[in-house]
Amino acid sequence: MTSATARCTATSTPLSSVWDRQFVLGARNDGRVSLYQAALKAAGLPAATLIDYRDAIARPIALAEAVCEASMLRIESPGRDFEVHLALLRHGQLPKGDRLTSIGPDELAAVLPQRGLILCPTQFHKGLEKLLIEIASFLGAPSPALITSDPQDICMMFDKRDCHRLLYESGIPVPRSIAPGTFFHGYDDLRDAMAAARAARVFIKLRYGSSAAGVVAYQARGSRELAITTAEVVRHGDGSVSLYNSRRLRRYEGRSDLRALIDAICRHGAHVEAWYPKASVAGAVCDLRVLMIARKPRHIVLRSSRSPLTNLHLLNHRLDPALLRDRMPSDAWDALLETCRRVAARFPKTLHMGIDVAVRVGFQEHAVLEVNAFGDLLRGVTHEGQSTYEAEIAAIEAGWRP
Amino acid sequence: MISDNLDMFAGKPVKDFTTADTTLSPVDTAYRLRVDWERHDKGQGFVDIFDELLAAGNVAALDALVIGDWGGTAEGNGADVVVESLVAQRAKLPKLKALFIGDMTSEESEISWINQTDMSPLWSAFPNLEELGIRGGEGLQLGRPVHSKLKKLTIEAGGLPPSVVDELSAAVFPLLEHLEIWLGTPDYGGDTTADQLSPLLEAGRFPKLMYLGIRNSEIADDIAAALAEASVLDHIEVLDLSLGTLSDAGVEALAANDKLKRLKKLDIHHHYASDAAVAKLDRLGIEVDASEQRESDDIGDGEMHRYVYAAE
Repeated sequence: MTSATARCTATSTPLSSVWDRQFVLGARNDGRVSLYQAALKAAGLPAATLIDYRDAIARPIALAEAVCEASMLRIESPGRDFEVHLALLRHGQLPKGDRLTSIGPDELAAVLPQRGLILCPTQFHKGLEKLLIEIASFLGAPSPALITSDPQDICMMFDKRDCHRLLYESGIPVPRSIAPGTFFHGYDDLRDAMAAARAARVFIKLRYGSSAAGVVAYQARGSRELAITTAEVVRHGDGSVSLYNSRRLRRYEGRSDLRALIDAICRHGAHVEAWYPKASVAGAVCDLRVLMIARKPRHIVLRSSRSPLTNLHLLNHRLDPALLRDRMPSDAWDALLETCRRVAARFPKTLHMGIDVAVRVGFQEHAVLEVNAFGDLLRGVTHEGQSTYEAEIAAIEAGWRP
Repeated sequence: MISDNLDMFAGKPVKDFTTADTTLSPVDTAYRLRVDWERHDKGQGFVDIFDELLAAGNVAALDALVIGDWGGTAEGNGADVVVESLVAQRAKLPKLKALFIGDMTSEESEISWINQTDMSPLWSAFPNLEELGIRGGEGLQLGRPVHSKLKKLTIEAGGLPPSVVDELSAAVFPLLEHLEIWLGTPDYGGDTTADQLSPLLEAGRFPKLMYLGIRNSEIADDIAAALAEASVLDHIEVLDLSLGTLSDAGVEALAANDKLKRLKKLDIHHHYASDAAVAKLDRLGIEVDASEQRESDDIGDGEMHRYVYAAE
């Protein structure tokens, strides 16, 4: 752990409530922050003070001061702002000689904003992790401020490989990992691992990717191959390859394209799982996003797609979860919710998390696909009359503490 | 894309067979045998789950059986084991009337990646069979089919080998009422031509035929044109050209075909025809399902593409 450069001393003024001096680490102009502020206002609570990620990185002393006088700290997603991404990339320099794709300060200064460009997800993650651990160190343990999402938990949830292992070792049903812990150098490594694991169909994910970015549904049998993916392979004149996150799904069938795609994902760090055969409703493959708040399943969204990738943001349809639940024996549905509770119990210091769960064909079994630290942006979805943010605020009002 | 497993088969709800089913209830249930990864990983296969089924009470009364993933299907394991096991144990399934082989969604195995097998041993092994369904065309053979009781035959494929169409053309199914084939696309070996289909479009080939489905086809327009002289239309009640790439040309050929006026129903759902072309079908005065109108897709290469429902 990073040694703290500053450490909070005792709080200067006694606080009457955790809401008195609430800070949100987030991004200016990010919808999540404004939705949260609106929910605070609706609850008659004071607005939170925003600490922008850019400022937090640029002025650590100011960050330390703010954090140290906080009664409560909410850590939000860095969002999609390009400058925030650059700031976190700058903050997360990989050691020289690291085998994963990285980008130095000079190159970063020259990067132009490009929609969808998958830059260096590992470096981005290191930047986020470093910042969050710095904040945790300022606060020390036990933290004088209420932190609604534990920094270590956030980092774990963002690491698809380690999070998968944690869940697996906790006895949570997950898709089986292909060659767990292996570093895949590229296409050939992957094919070897698939053969050894007798897996003809896999999901290749960026180890530190967010949501569907860089996810590849890949099937291969001998020379017959097919990849369906959100990643677009762009070859440059010098032979190098960039990946772009595309809203439109791409199909790759040719070996040279597939090699370029898979090699590029491996250079960013890959986590590979056997393709979990998801059940369908209404003619489309589906999975669930279950938002856990204070260890209880709350807002549940059924996402469906006519492609194997169910977790795209906007293009997929949201359906009533009852469509799936009604197909399942009631004990299978109860078991799914119990799994979600067990996942939440692995992260007791975190108020909310969005768990993606797939039900297997046959409607009996289920598996946890991902745990999303910032999985509560579910616009227009209410549970017991509350939006996701209102429900989180109410849980704190009702006494939730880490 | 095949998104759903069978919910109903032979008029009964389908249920996955598990070891908890120690006594079967064939009256109201069609059981599905499915070898999941856990079983496959333990080195077990179709033979093992089939043995468990045969050991269950009341198995002799079983009349409907659905076979899903037979173990390692996605890895390329063929259906040989299914046909061999069924034939070897046929004495234990004397009442079997309805059989489906290959009930897998695209999440389990893409339809054109399913390795099927030679089905010909089934014709004599199961003389009481009335319904046979098959998903997957790769490696499929029917031999020289002769069956005195078969009423319903369905072959779903992303690419049906033309040799299967030829085998069907020579089949002897005196009681066949429902014939449904999915031709698929040439990309996956489905390169049957409309000419090759002509024996199936003749009256009397299957004297009891009521329903003819040539579905999921990239040559739907050619088939529509070939139907102009098809005597089979003088006998059947339902013509199903759905799930294919039917466009204005095909729909206009159908609308101009007076033979269709005596049908009860024409199904072209999942098509690429315009509203104007579809409206011309009104003159036939029969029930028409023209739902799921699709639009050709320019995938960025400047050409317009039309897709069958299930190819992959």
